[in-house]
Amino acid sequence: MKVFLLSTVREFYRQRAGLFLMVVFILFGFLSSREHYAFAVFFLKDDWGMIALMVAWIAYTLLCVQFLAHQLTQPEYVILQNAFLWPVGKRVIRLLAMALGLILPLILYGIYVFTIARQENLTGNTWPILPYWLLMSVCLMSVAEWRLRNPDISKAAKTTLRLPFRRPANYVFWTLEWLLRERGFTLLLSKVGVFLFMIAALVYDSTGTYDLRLPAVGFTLAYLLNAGLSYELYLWENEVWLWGKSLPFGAITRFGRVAILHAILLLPETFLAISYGTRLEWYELAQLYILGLSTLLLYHVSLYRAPKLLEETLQPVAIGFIILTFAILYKIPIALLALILLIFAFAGWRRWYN
Amino acid sequence: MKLAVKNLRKSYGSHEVLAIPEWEIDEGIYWIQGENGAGKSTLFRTLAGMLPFEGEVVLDKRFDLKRDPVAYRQRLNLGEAEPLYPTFLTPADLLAFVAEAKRSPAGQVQNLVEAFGMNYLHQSMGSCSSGMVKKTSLALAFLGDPSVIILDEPLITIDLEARANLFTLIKNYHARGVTFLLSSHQPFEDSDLPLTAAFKLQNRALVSLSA
Repeated sequence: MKVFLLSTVREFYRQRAGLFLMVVFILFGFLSSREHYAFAVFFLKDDWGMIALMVAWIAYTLLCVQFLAHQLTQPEYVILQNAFLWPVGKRVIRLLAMALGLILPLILYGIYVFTIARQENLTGNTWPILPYWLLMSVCLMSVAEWRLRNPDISKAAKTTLRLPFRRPANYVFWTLEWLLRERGFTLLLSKVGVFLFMIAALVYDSTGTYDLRLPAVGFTLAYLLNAGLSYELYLWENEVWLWGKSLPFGAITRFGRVAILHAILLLPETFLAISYGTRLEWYELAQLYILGLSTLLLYHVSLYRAPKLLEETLQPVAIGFIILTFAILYKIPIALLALILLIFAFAGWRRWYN
Repeated sequence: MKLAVKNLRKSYGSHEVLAIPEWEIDEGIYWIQGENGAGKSTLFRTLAGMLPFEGEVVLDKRFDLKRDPVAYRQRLNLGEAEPLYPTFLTPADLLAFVAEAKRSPAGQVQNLVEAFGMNYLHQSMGSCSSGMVKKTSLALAFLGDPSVIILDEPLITIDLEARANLFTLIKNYHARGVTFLLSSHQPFEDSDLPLTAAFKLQNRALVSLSA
């Protein structure tokens, strides 16, 4: 039981730590408590509210389904196939425990909706929540049972998407392909969070005639929300493709690759800012982009100082952002700040990279 | 002197795995032994520049791993015991990438592919068996013009034909002056390999077994 839960539930949250972190950022950073409340009331009062809630929960359940179907066929978890030998009753209870563990965020949110319903005297409208939980649990149990009955590891491993062209022997291309293939959902959620912050910065900027300092703070914060993806790039080099470190590439080449990767990562939100119709000129946008890039690069380089969990790396980011904000407000030119951060990043790379 | 190590220390947190005051080898084929968990793979990964460490590692009296990281890595190749590669890549992708980085001479990739019987070049690594992944890692370890090749447990999971071809390759490369560091729990007696010396990794240091 313990091994089964550790290998499924804990692994699910561990592998998607970046994703959940971003969700927490959005829920508790971007949305105020009043907006949370409004959402819950919408789910309870609107004719389509409970259906909207179900759609959102189904999307989450599909994420769990995809994880389960994949996880139970992984060579390192082949031992889990022994779960099929459990007696039926025991298997049902254990699979239910697993399913409840996986949908824990939905259970917690459901409880929140219950409490709002009580305050608003709308408890009668909460009746679909319990059937939803049951439905999601049965769905996950069925997928796990199906996978235990069909443990075709080789088949599962071969269902990888083939590129329609010959893959270039290029590190940057491989890294981006890995991000899309293996960290696709984290990438998506990170970008959703970044987009929301970017739009918020643009909306705020459009409310008056501010100088470049205000968007500089907003844009940098939005760009910094790519920290989770930057951390994934660090894991790619230091865990997934560790052997690549034995190849003969110099420090400048490796730093160049990291800079190119981060520059590409920041492009979508930069295009969003351009397409939003901002009053900022191209050279101002370019300064903000380079400031965001150097800030994120400095974060990435700092990861090489000592191995740390993502959560442990975020506190210095918050402190660094506050210092940077003061520097921006102190009227240090944005381009100069970006250059200083870039120099620090490169110096850190020379010192810590190995 | 082919490879020299001085005051090498490697720790994982507070757990020290390697503490080698001094170790030098000349050209030859060396068998590195050690119990499970003794630190052989950590030693090899450190020598290959994959892990940070304290101390000094110098190749061919000229190339310091820290001061000349590119030139050093150009001349030292590693085949890992349990190689891990991104699952979506194919052996063809890896061979092309590493061949370019190691400046592999024309025809070398094809020769290695034939030597190891790699008829699965366009299959993703995720769908390869452990033997297929191992053969890929061995082929990658022979690319370029290395001065030292480290093979960590090269015999595990490969078939008899690949094993025989591997020994032939080792002998050919050795005849051209390449030094080998091999680790294996299986003895090399039936291999006809001209072993120069053997060392054992014991209490975090390398101890000569031929003395």
